[in-house]
Amino acid sequence: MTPDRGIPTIAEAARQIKAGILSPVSLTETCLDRIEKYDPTINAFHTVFIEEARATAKQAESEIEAGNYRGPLHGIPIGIKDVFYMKGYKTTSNSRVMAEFEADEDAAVITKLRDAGAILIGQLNTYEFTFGGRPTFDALYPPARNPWNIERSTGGSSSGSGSAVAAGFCLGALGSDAGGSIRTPSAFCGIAGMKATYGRVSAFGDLPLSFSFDCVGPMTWTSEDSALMLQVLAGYDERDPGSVDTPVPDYVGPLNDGVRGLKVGVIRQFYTDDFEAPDEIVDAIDGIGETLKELGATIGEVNVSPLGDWHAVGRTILPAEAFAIHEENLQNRWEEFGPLARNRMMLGSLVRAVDYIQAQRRRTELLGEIEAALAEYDILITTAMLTPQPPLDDKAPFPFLDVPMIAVPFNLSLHPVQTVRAGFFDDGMPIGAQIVGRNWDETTVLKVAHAFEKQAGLLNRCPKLA
Amino acid sequence: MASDENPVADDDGMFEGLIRASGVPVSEEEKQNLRKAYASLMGLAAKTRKPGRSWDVRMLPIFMPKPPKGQD
Repeated sequence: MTPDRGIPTIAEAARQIKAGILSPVSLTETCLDRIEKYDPTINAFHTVFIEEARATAKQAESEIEAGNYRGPLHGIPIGIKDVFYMKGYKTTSNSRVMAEFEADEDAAVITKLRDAGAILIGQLNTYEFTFGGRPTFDALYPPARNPWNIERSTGGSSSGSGSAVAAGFCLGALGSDAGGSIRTPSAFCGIAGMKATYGRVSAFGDLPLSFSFDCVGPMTWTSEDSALMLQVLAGYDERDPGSVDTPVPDYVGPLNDGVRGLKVGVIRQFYTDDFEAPDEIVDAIDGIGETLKELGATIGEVNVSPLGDWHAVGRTILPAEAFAIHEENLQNRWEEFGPLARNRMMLGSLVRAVDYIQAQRRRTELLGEIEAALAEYDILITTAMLTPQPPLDDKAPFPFLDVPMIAVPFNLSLHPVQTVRAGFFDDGMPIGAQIVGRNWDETTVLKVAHAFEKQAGLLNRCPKLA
Repeated sequence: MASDENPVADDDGMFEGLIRASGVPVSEEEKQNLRKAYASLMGLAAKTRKPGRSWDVRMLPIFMPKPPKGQD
């Protein structure tokens, strides 16, 4: 168990559950105790499935005792971002507009988790309709707080997922990512998170924000745990038009194969030239390259178009698609939206068809630059954050317009990305990095992330909860 | 009037028209904030243009990468 974290990793717990050393019931009770004790301050969950979680844990225990072990997620408590359809529960996306919405079937990833024997422990906070930028105080539920410092932002929009995993309320969580919504809270909360190749994980039953970018993925303490979760979540689903029918490889087996001989390209310009990130970020990200070099990888530097170009494309496409998705509700239920969310979406009404199409054409060009870089390198690395975690009560209405979004390039390019903890600021807040791989090659991404985490030893530090 | 720096659409008339066309009942106060954001947004939209871009540069017809080579 990681010192002071209060719960094991998924990998540790799975080994112990399989061996009969750890009871899913006691593990679930540990999570519920921590939620009861600390979540009134952290606000990661808005609903905890106390009775269902206990019943599922008991069932898991009985199945395992009877010799029917389903796999590494059997008996593991997992938190659910409140954007996924869950039959029998409301799915709100933290909006008053959706306060009474109840889907009549589960999202694809919920079905997969249930089939794997995971214990769904509760619904996690998000930004209203997952439109990122910063937390909203004017939505259905108050924002989640960062366990490392409750006055600082978790990042979003998978804000509750980031804070719940960091706080040790659950062993893993589901997130969704259209512009960094898995990767930013993973970085801000010091955990690991995977945005897989677009089309790898079904988005059926994920309330949409952007048809071009929406991805679903795991958020966990370690990259090994991300691999264990992704193994369950990945796979073709004909109900999702973006889902691609391609084999799912073994993500877990190769984790310890090492990085010797891999070519790693660092996109330094994003955090040095295009945006002047603090020295702590520069040192942390550069440090990943040095660590991987010690492990036998070859390190080079990659240059692509300025970050502002990627940002411009993402910020033209995303609001336009979000407005199209929510147009009817914006027209008819305007007053039920929080002002921040509705104004962010209104930007999309100002994007003309020609602006949208030109942005999509520029995206095609930019995507080609990442493909070219990944023809030369096996892996790309860059930062997952350009600034320290902002204050929780930052009230800028359109923060995503003027400050470049560092996660967006890989939403445009569709490639798989793992966020890892790369270091710490002087004040103790975590720093995150992005590890990017070729399409469909999450295996190499996770292998590199795992090798770095083991060598760097940065995951021993945990937030101190009060 | 469109400015020299931003030839795309940063125009009061265009802004008012698009807001009206949206059919969304935006308050005057929110409209003022949106007007400023619109200027930033059109600055970004201008950056997506590229003089002399070939007609062959298309938007993705579908939003998914193709399967790996050697697979159907």
